[in-house]
Amino acid sequence: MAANGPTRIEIAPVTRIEGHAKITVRLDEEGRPADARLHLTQLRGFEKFCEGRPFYELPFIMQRICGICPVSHALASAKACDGILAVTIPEEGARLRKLANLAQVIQSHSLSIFYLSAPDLLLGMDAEPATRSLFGVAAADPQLARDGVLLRKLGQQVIALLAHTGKRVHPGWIVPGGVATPLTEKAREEILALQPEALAAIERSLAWLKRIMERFGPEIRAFANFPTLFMGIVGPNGELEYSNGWVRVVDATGKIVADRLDPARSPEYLSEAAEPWTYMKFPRFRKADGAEASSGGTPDGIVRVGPLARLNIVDQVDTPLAAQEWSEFRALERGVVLSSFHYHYARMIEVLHAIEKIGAMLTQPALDKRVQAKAEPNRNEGIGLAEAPRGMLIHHYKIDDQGLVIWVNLTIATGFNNWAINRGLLQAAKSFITGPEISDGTLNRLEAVVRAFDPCLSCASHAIGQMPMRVQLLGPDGMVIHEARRE
Amino acid sequence: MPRLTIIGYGNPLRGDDGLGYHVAERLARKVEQEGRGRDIEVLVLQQLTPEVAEAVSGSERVIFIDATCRLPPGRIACEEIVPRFPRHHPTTHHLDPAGVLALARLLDPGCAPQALLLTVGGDSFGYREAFSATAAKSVSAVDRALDQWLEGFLSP
Repeated sequence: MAANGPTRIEIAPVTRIEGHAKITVRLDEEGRPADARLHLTQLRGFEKFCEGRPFYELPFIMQRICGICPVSHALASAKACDGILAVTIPEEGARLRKLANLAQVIQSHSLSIFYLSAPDLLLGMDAEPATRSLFGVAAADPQLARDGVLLRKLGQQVIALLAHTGKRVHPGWIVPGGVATPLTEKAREEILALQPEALAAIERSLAWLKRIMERFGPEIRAFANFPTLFMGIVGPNGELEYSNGWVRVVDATGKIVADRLDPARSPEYLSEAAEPWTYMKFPRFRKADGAEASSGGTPDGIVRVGPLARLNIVDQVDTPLAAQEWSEFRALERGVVLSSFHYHYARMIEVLHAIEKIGAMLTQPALDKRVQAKAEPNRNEGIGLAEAPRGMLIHHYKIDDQGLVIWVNLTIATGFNNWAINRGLLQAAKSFITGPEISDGTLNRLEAVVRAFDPCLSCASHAIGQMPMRVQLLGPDGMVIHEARRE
Repeated sequence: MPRLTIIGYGNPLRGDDGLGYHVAERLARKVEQEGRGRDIEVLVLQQLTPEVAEAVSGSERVIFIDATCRLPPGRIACEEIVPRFPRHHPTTHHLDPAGVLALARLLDPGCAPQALLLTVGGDSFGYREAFSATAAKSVSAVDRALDQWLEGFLSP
């Protein structure tokens, strides 16, 4: 490739992700990948246009950031508002919020696994591009596709039943102080009736994933497989938790470097940086002394969040079938699981856990009708943290004495993973770009690195407009020498 | 499994584009009030996603209701739909009725519902929740026609 060969690869748009982006790979004088970047090129501006709105509107506005993880945005936003109200929300309100977040884990993870990544996993990274869709999956393995569609639908159905507004995507039911309405007995019974089918579907799918994983040795080795910190919330007993708990950080050996951190004090242990080539921020973890914590191999303070991180940081998974799967998962590597390819596996285990957990939480028929604490604003600032399907999500608001928003900062799960995604792209580029001819399968592998994280770029970049992405190969002089684009 | 699935879709925040959505919303209430949920499932959607394929796969008959800018404002058209794979790379966010049927058949090869697409020409697709005057008249006409047709479909 050398001086006259290609020097920059651009993949744009990146397909089968949530949001819009492009990948560039810059080559050195010898034609070897020297750098790789995921660029988010557009801005949405939720932080700015929410200024001046009454704070209690924010859970309804903020959930519109995303059609895939609106419950998490509503939850983090409502929790920030709880902080402004300075209330303790009723137990039943907290329980119902948690149920909705679990249901969202099911539907969002199912979309990622079955609709976006199963084409690569089932048909192979080098499969004919036209077949790489849910249609291709359905043609090759109808049962797998049926299970995926069923799980996505069930997750959405549970959200609609909990909120009983009939809305599966933006139910508008999680509000400051709790939830708008209690759960009905009819809805409880209907949700429980969905359990057996959902469990059978995810167990079949997990068995399938474990069977085919051995085909992906090169991808497991090269898809963002390196030491970082892992961060997320854990329940009071160190269990897997998505809604209420403490923040924990472990290093690449599995050692806990910080624990029982208060979500409401997250600005004290998180920092954020920006780069001129992307609208996605780069948050990092820093220790109590202000120094960025060492991850044992990568720049200090670099974290990964989301399913892989959650299964790496917890002491236990509190449902029987998922606990068994978690034990197998943790046995993949000594210490913690480092390959980001295994986000897929972790995602499936979380779906199993969410289904079991919803069932366990709904065994009690007696339901309290008190689900919302009401108050006037008692503080001028609030911070809400929840685990979105993709990882830790933080909403931080400040209001004036009239209750109008004067400042908003959102720290999004995909942003936490930003550094790992970028470094993972370089790792994969070095592994799979071995000569001047770059196959479609190689480009797809670069996209698949991004897909493994299931990034929600609409959330993270606050982007608007076009969705998918491009991959560009750049020369040492920055000129584009190869570009792949899918519209 | 309901014998009939009615799917009204569109964006209720974009003027006449929400026509199918509103028609289906009214029908869903009517079906619930009349206790006909065993025979008729009504889906009120903003767009057609892969999960819709699962919903239609067990039905004898499917009716899609949508607004269109391809017909003159107020004009109502009805056409039979057959399964057809999407011409472009299919996304997870949006399918057309023929794509939904094609996916339903892949998921369940025995699935072969008779499918109709009812479209109504819209006049205004801007950012508003209200219909244009022309579309509002068409909605009433569609409501009446569907009510009448349903009586016939459900009578023994």
